[in-house]
Amino acid sequence: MTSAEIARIYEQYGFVIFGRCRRILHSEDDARDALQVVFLRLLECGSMLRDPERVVSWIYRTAQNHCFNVLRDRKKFDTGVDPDELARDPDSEQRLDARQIINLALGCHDRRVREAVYFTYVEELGQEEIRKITGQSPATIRRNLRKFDRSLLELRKRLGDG
Amino acid sequence: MTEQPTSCPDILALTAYAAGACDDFTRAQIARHCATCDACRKRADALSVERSDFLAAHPFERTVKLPQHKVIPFPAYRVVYALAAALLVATGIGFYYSSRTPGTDTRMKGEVRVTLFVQESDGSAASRADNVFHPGERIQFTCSSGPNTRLALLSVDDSGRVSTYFPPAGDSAMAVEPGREAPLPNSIVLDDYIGRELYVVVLSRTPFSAGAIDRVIRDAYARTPDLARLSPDPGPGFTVRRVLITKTARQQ
Repeated sequence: MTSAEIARIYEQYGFVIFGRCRRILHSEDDARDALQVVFLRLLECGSMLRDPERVVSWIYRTAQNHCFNVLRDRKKFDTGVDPDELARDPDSEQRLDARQIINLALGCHDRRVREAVYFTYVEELGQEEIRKITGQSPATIRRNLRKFDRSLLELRKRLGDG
Repeated sequence: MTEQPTSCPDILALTAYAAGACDDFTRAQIARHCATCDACRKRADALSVERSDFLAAHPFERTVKLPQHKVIPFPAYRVVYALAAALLVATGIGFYYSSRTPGTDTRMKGEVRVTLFVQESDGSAASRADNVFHPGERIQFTCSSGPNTRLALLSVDDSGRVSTYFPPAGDSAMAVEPGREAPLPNSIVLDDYIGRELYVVVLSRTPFSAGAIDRVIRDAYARTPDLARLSPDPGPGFTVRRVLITKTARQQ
């Protein structure tokens, strides 16, 4: 692969990788680091590069997996809130926004629930699109979303939120 | 006659369209749809703006650092034809690539086999019985393995310098395609170092760290600096294959 070909692949797909990484990591610097890793992995993909939709699907899945691993390794689910402290302080005016609640709940679930939740609520994709990216059937996606919704309800009750 | 409206493309198709990666037919189809669908046109436009903003803020030459060793894949079809030709030659002369040379180990027991080819000046792939190569030549490893195999490829030269070729980024060993003589994703252009270089291919059915293998090789070199006798041992659950080459300057 020549430098020109590598540059062309970057110009086509770089924004897709960076966009996914920035959504999860909430940091331009971290997203740039993740872009480097995921882009170099993309270059290894050989013949898959001839199928653009497969490439985009691969990027969605790989960027998400990589970035969640980064977050987990750094023990950094960006809540800005200690849920146990909040529960002890009934007068606290702090309220969790949707992103913080998702991050809290995601720490408790497996990869498949996390994927269903992330692509549904953060990327706002349809179930058929999620199926293409993750391989989960629409029924499995719905089941995993229900699992997450139940845990979210329990968490809200515990925090006295909503 | 009114043209029937096409159904909305999903985000994967729209993103591929905004990336400028679609073939002509698909691009024309999506463009025709966007001309009549406000929602899709807005989505496609937003993706295009995102792409141009990204490239303006993060140009390729300032953002991406490519691996130090030139790692450039063979075009896939050339690999298929070149490997076929090379295998025919090897079979015809009963050639065992480096298997009887002390310090090399490329004919494998069991299901794992690693083979090394070099791209000749006419573009064909060949194997070399004497394992002598020259700076600037392009070599390609192939691997015969079963399913769920992960691989790391590192090298150590006479000076003890250890380099990692696969995975090309990150620390996790990469998954390899099961089957016979599957080429690794990228070829390797040999650098200017003159001397011997031992390529160490490590395989396992479970994920492992390339950094850990790097340490194993350094420890082995510290104990046994002679590459011909150096035998890194990552422990149980790993298969190790070694290929020792010698790089010499080209005769003018």
